[in-house]
Amino acid sequence: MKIMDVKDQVSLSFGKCVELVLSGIKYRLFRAAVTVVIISLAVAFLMTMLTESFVARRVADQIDLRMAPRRTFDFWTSRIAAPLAEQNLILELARATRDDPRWREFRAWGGLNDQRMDELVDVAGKQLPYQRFFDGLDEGKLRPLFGRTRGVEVFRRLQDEGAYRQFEEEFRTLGLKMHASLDEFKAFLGDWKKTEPMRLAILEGNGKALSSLRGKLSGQEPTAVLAEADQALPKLLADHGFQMDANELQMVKQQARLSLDADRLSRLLSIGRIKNRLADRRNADLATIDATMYFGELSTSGGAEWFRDQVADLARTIKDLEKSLPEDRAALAGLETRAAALDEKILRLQAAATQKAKDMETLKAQAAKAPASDEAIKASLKEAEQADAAAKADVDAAEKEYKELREGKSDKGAVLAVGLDDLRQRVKRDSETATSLLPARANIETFGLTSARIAQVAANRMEQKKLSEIEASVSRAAGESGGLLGYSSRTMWLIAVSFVVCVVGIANAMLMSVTDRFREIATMKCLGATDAYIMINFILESCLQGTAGGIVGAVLGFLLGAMRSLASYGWIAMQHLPWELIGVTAAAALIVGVVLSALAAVYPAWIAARLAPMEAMRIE
Amino acid sequence: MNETVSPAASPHGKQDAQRPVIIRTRNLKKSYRMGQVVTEALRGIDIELYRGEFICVMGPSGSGKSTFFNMVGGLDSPTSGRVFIDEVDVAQLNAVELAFLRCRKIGYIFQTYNLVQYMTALENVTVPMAFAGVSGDDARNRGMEMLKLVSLADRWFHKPIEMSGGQQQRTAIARSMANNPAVLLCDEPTGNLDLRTGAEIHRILKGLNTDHKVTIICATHDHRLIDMADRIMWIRDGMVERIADRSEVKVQTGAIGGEENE
Repeated sequence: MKIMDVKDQVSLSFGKCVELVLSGIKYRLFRAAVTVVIISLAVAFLMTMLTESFVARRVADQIDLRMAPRRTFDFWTSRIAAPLAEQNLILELARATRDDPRWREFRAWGGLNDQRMDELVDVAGKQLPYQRFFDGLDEGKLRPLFGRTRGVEVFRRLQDEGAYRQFEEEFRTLGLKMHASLDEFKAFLGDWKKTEPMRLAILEGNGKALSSLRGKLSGQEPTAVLAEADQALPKLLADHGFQMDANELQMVKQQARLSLDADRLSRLLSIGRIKNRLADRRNADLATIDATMYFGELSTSGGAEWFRDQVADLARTIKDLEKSLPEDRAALAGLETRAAALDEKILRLQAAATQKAKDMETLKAQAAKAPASDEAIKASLKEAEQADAAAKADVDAAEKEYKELREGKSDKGAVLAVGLDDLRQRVKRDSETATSLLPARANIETFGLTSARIAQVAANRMEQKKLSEIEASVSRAAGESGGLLGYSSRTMWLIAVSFVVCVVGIANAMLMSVTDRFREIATMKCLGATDAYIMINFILESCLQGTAGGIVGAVLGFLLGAMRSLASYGWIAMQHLPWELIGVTAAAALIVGVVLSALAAVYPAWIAARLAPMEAMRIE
Repeated sequence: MNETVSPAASPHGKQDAQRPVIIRTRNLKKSYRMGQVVTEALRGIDIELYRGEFICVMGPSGSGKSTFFNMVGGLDSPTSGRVFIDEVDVAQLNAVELAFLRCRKIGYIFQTYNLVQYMTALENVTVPMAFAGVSGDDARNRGMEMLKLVSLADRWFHKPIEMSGGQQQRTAIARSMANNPAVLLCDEPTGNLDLRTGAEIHRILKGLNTDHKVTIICATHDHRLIDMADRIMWIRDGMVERIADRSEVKVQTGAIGGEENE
């Protein structure tokens, strides 16, 4: 019996293998396309989430960066305005390191050394997780645990044996679980008590320092202080234990100035005239004028110029009114007096005229009764008629005078004197204007801002608002998905399901393929294909489809994620795309696509490889 | 168990002890288990097939003809007994060696042609050469030679769908000769073809046998093919009923003498 010599067998080059697979795919293009679509959908899904998450993270970093000056400013104003609260002390202690300015401050205020500070920092670091845990509980649990005590006070309360026992019992009953055991917590409480005097010392030191500082600042508002700050300020602060470095000084000063100027602009918005003019300028409804529109308009160079003109106009108005209003008021008073006098006179004359008319009527009646020869009566009657006419004329004259007084004297259209009515109106109007401008008078008269500065301040205000909105949007998104890149289990679940569906779908399609091709496979075996070749053929086919699907999916997913980020956060999302990260992610997504398709093909490929070549023969 | 032999003729025809044997079976048995039922397809076959001969295998449905073919073609392993192809015991071969066998030593021709639909005629012919490790250019040259052999050189770029049945079968024949096999296994090669195209195929097969000294084993009902054979073998009920030389058998249109009703 001969032993067969197997050499040069199935030295099918990989290239040839790929070639055969490719021609096979071309033939079954539709089914291949379906597989590619399935993979690309799953990969796109994954890629979208990852892209969005990375972009959001980058956006959050950017915002942090841009808002840093403002934060520093807020930080220093609040420190100068009020003493340190216990809660904030804890937060800052937890964050502090040895080379921190805060470290030096606390050490100085509390009269402590570095070792003591280490203890404090340690305790604070332990306290925060406990505090966060307690803050996360709902009212129904907090009541039995701590009664009415909340926040930092809780740790104080639990120093009492009875209170602690109650807490412990309720904790066990409610079946709660903390990041540490109750024993660890108890030990922590002991440390907390031990370090409490130190903390109180810091708070006291801070309080004393602050009141001394405020005394030196002689009642100035923190913002004003910071706006005028020069090299002397850090020294002054340092004398009281507050550590501000040179960078912070610049930042804070700039922000303080921006804040003050922005406030000035805001106050001017409340003036009715400005609002009206702005509504006209923007062709908008008066009711829709708000701070956003206001600052939006002012942030443009045209708007800033316009505003300066408005303010100048207001200043002029104030000046004019200062002169004209008293004059007008005096004139008005004069006219009112005359009017009153005239009024009285008219009444008298009218009374007289009525009397005269009565007399006339009486005499007329008499004359009618008397014989025509009575000359005396006739003469009296004539007299009476004359008197009556004169009286009427007087009344008319007086009334005419009164009318002229009221309406002003005019000579063929030209106004010679202003009438009472008009003057009243004018004084009323001007008084109202003066009243409305009075509060802002100082602001208007000392308004020294250039239009460039106006635009800068307004733009800064707009940016702050926008950044806050984006920040809120980012943290909202983070909250929904369980933290940036710390995906909620729901998201993980969705992704896992999509992968499973993908694999199952492809495996199904491949099994159909195997069934359709059984004769072809069996024939190949007759021609010398090994089982391994058949398996490689199918898995390779699937991998090629996976690659195509992976590429399509990665690109699609990236675009979709980028668009969604754009919609959520605006252009800031596009400005700093983390390209390297996205590149790596795309590669990973591609690999996922290939792996998924290879996985899906394993079972069908195995089925195919096991096919007996005799299936190729006709079945009798 | 010894095979039953019809007393009318000797079981092996003219036996030539000097002639080299290409395929030998010893007590070949094959049974299939389907659930609870065990079917004995082959019940002990002892035959020797000589190198360079043209032998036709006949038998009714269920006679074990296809099973016999599978055994002889290295497509399946026996349940018991032995099959020697070129003195190599097929049952001893592992999967890779079997693949080698099918690639180099045996060519297959099917009733349904079984060409790869998405490849041209030339590509189809070169597939076995690829498996044998022949380089691209050499494969293509040899492929064209093979296609010339079957008069299809001018259609080398056609896909199976663009060819008639006869042309497809000719391509299949060219493919089967690609690696210069010792044996050609034909399973009803003209079953799907009309009489005239069938005659073409028969001629080609006979030509291969005579000119290229290829052993041809055919399963067929076509009398004209049987007419060209050197020997004829009948299988019935899993046993060889009879083997006879062509000269001993009367082949007529319509019926062949010595055959049971089909």
